Amino acid sequence: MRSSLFINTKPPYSSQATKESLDAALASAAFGVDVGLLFIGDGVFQIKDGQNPAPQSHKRTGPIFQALELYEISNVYVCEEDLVERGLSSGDLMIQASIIPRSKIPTVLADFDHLLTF
Amino acid sequence: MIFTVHVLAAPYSHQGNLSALRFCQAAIAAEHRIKRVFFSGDGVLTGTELASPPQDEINLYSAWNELNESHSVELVVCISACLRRGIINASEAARYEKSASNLAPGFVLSGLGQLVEAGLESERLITFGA
Repeated sequence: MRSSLFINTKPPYSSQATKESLDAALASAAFGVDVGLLFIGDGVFQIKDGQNPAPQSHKRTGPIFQALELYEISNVYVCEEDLVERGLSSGDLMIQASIIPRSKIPTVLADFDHLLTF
Repeated sequence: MIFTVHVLAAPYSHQGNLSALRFCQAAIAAEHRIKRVFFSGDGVLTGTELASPPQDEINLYSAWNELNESHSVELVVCISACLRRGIINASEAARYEKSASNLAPGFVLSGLGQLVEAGLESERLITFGA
């Protein structure tokens, strides 16, 4: 089975990046691809708990993240330094994730056949 | 080697669009194969037939179409990204009761499955981001 890592670098709501990355990840999972998610930079805000976007202007992506287990997507990685720089910790996240130091990111990248950056 | 190219960058807004085009041209010149180019996000704006850039600048639209005409490279635009951004073919125009369509002839409107499938059948999948 092929594996794909979706690398999320953009904050939620300022663009369609969160939704489009999730769509591609879920489509991959539906094709039997082994899917992983990595959140780096401002991308870590995508999975911050307690988001409350105005429904008139933004789609709520939180419920989609919380449904990832239904798609058997459980490999979720978050860069530790990027969390700390933004005043966040693992307790602020809405989903279970492996918090990894920046120095370990290359090891994660090497584990996947395909890397898709959003 | 067989490549799939994934383009998120809009033409003229981000270097990624031109870089993706150059990558495809270089790969073909070196006798590699481009399995498919999949455009999503703002990258789908590449598929418009209506743009007319100034004549003393590179015409990214015709350059992508040329890749399809001369080398049979499949150019697929993500349908959900297209519908959000107003890039539609004749059948979608009919479905949504729009008065016009604007997808260039070299492009095909399809779903994200086309990206996943192409990735599975390629040795490398390369994303050109925005």
